[in-house]
Amino acid sequence: MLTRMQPSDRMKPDRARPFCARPLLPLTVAAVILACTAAAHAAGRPLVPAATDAAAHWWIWPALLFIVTFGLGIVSVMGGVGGGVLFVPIVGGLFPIHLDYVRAAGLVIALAGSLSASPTLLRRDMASLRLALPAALVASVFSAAGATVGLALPQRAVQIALGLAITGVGVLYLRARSASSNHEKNGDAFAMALGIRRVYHESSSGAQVEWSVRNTRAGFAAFSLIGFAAGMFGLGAGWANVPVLNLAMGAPLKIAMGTSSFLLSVTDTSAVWIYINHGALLPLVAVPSILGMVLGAKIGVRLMIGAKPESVRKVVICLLFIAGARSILKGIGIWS
Amino acid sequence: MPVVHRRRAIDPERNRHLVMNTAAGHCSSAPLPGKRTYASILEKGTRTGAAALAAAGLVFFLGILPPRVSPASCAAHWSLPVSEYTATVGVRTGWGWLADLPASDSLCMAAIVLLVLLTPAGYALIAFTCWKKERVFSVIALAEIAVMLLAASGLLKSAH
Repeated sequence: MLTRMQPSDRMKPDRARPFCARPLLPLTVAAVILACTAAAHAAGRPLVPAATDAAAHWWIWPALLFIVTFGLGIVSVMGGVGGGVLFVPIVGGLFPIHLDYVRAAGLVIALAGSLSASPTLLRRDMASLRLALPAALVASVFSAAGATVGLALPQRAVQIALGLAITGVGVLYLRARSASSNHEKNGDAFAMALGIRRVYHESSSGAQVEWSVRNTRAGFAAFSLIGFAAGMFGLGAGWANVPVLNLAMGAPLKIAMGTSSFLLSVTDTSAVWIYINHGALLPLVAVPSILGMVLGAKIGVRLMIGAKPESVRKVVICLLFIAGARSILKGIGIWS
Repeated sequence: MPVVHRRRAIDPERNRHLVMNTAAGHCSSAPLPGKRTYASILEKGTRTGAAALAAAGLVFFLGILPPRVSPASCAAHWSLPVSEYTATVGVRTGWGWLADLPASDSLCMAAIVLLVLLTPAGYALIAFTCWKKERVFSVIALAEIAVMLLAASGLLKSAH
């Protein structure tokens, strides 16, 4: 049986209260900022001086990064996507910053979001350490490999691959509108050996839900690909973790989302070290981006209650397709 | 043809970590030892790291302390690939930022690294607390720490 997956099904943090009667206003502002930046670059009349004059007007860039990531933070939380998946293609496509630094900042953004969510998820038993630890080991080995390969490839190749990946994520969000409620109760032999068999309290129905996972080996193999893509492109990996955990392995949706969020904190840590060691983590890029995304996400959480999930979802899908197309065009040199 | 999932009987000898929740009639494995402490480490560490990052960011952007690489120089060269950037601005890679403390951008790096170190710290706790009763997870945690140490060591450097 399949049920529609709504962003409102996603876990809501504690103490979330509506405080704004016009939730789409900040969305509109963010969209306008992004559209203006894109249009100005496309017209060859950047809103801020070109990269050659960047030294004299350096302060504009972190300010713009903060504003854009603040908007992305709002949109990403309301749309139920990780910050990194929007940050890397949009900032990598619109700012004159080499993709190496954008990917590094994207990973730290995803890491920061995951670290702040994980304590609540662990305490409420929404993230399973028994499931996450082996999956994260596989994913983090490959994320380190992906980061190493990504830094070795020429920027154009990474831009094209990133564009294709982001377009793929957009297609995934467009088509994967279903979540499996037919979750596994017994588990396969590997799951039983690891003791992946838990009960969680479903607050919406008040029921005790017994769950385990199936296809464990195939699922863990999928995490190798997810980890590689996460490290190579600097994206979080929630967009792929949740379908694997929920649809392929049969974990309940809330457990899949909670475990996925925790997994990011491990997967991204390995890849971030690779970027740090190469000198690709620039404070001028990372600090305003992290702070903007964190503040935006906090506002987004509060706005989420009054928002229309379908509208936000459409905005996110549009942003993914635009950013993916922009990345591909930039990679092949048509729209530099 | 519908897929039939065969229910497997649970062998109590082979699944000693499973405990019966008699009130609800469910069979469930016990949470891993150290889970709540791990959550506390992440919670306190993230708060501290975020506060440190905001403070270091203020020091960096307001120019309270001199940076290793000035923001102007950074912005002028950030369109270069990382290997060319580090060579051009003359900044040390790897753990070189530690030697430049208390430069303001090194302070920002320290705050970020504080966040990045939270997961290895949590894994060290899991490796320790699971050693007696959940040896498999202890070994997995140790393997994960080894992967992170390898990544942090700088041995996995690619030729750009």
